[in-house]
Amino acid sequence: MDKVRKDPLFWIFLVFLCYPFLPYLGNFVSLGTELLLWFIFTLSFNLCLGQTGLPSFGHGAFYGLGSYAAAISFLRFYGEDSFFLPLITAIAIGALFGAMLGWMIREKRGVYFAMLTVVFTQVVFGICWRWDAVTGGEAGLSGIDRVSILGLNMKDPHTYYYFCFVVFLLCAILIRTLAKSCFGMSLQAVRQNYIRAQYLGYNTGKYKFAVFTISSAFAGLAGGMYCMLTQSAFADILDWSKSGDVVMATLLGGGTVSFYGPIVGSIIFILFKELLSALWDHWALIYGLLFVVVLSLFPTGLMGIIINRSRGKKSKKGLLPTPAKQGGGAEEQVEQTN
Amino acid sequence: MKRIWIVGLMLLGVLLVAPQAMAEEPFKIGVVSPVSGNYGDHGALERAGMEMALKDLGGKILGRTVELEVLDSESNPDAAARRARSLIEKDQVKVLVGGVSSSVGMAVGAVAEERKVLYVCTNGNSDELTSAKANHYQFRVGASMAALGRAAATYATNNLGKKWFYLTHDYSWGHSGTRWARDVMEKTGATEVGEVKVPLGTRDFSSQLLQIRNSGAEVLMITCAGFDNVALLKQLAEYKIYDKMKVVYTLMEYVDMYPLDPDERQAYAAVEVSWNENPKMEAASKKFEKMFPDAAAPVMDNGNYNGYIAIMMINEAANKAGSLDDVEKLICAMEGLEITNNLRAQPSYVSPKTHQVLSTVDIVKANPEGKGLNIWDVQKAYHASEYDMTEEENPVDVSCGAQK
Repeated sequence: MDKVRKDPLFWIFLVFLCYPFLPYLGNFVSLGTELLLWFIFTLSFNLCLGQTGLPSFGHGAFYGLGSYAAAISFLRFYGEDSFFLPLITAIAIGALFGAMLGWMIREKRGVYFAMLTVVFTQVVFGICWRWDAVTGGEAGLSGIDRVSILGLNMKDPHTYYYFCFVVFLLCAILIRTLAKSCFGMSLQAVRQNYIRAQYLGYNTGKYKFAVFTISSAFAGLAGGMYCMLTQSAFADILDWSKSGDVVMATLLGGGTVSFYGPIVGSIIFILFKELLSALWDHWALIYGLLFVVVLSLFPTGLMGIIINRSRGKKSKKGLLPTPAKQGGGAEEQVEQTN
Repeated sequence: MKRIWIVGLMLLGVLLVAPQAMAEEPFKIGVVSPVSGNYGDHGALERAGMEMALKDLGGKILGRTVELEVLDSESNPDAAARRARSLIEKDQVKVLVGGVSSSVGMAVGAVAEERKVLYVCTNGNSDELTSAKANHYQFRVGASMAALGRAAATYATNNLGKKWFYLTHDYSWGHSGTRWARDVMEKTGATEVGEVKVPLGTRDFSSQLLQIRNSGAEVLMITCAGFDNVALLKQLAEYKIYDKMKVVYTLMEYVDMYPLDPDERQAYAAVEVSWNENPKMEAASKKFEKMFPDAAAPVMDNGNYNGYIAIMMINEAANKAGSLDDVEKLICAMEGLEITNNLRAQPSYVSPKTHQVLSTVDIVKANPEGKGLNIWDVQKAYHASEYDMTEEENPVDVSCGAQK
């Protein structure tokens, strides 16, 4: 029991189990649903960035592709009684495109890798924005309905929230298990010292391809569920700036040093975006300043601060080295804490 | 470590409970309008129009104080849908207004249908809003591109020339403007000499304008908007297009033409409203200028006028229904409503089947000699009821009668 209580995922479970009953925020259950979907998206993205050191700065493409895959498959193929099939299609399309792009860029590194993912996002955005006959163009796609599944009325925002809650927990456990597995350790090796990993016999290209595909599949799922939440799909979520949001949230939260960093970053980003924006139009200025200040003073992000405080007292493992001190990039030695 | 978690949770609790203390009683109208993004300046105008209407109504509808609860749509349909949901869930609004750009209108309209709240789209012009994407809970104040495109083309074919060239913004809104102008062209014996489509975000039109200049066209029919259009208006003068042909816009915003130098103002355009079309509108414009001296367009223009009418329409529907809370009653009262308090020469009328507000569409001609706010003169007024999509073209019926 003590082990369970020490697990941050347990506390996240408790908070989000009670979310619809929280005062104020509980009235806004769609915000909670969006948070859960962002958790899935950022955790999957962090498999690339935090775990493997892949700067996939166009990862929003897979979220958007998942959204369109769910919308198009619902409207054109599966019909109004479908619910799981569009989501499975979203996962498949996310994985398929992730695999295609991952295979093409598996040997690229650093800025080249980042730029190719950004270009891919913009290509997908351009297609979705202009291909009116299939994607609805500027007007997007709407009319996606959430039907009752196993006697549960998914149209009800609370029921859908709890569905997303369960899916999030499953995804989080799955991603964490993956990160802790031998495969996850190998990914960390690729991130910590790419050249050494190659000399040790790891086929780094294949690892990068595999993690990119898996991460894209999760992003596709999050996008598909987002489509079901909004009951529509728009090209705007494919814009490169949206991909920037997930990078910022992950780095701010401390995704490079902690599995939970993306969750912390997502909470801050979404709450800033949805709650602070209602009070002040220029909320992005505060968010940007927060990002600059935190990342300048604590390059390991908010979770890095917490981990350092905790280690500072116990002094067993020593403080986290910062990416800056280690030279950053693929040579970075920062250990990811699970 | 454990203490940090506990302190964090306590802080979160305080943050969550604090805003509940500020419970409010007035009736809230949710405004989803761009504060930022591509249409931020248009959003400011429509909100100003809404504020002016509320002031004219003494801040009350059916004796109840009304407040506008504004959230930023970011000129982005995805964000707009989220904000609409936030207003419905968090603030329990039953009436939503706003929406510059059609995609935002469609996104908010879909949320309105899902949550069964009334939505009055102010500044989206795409035909889909009242055809393929029409729904029972959604009304549209701005004129459709069918009405605007056909009115502009009718004026052009009768008065300006018979050989046309099209310059189209390459997305669904641009395509619909050209489509309806072409519809009139084909019926009236005018001929097409060419078309160029420009992607959204085009600021350099030099190659297109050289092609157009040498095309031998008598009329250049443009459907192009936003900051791209501001750049285009400048370049039309630079490339001396006006020496070769008449330029007609299927839709023009006052804010786009207002900053131009006098000699750059030579185009014709269809507009949803012109501030100098009649004395009532001129008086309203003066009042608007006094209330909002720093507005991007200090007169009644498409944006602020539609915001104004949206509130007036809700007021008249509430008076007719005798309720502000009952969404279904409001919708049924709105259908067929004649908006008399509309500052126009002819009343506006709400089509029961499509939920489109049908008002006068003006054809204006830019006036290089005009001083101050007089940047254009009204040439002709057409009523949208004659130029909007016919029942054969748009058989949609979302009325209360059809729901039963």
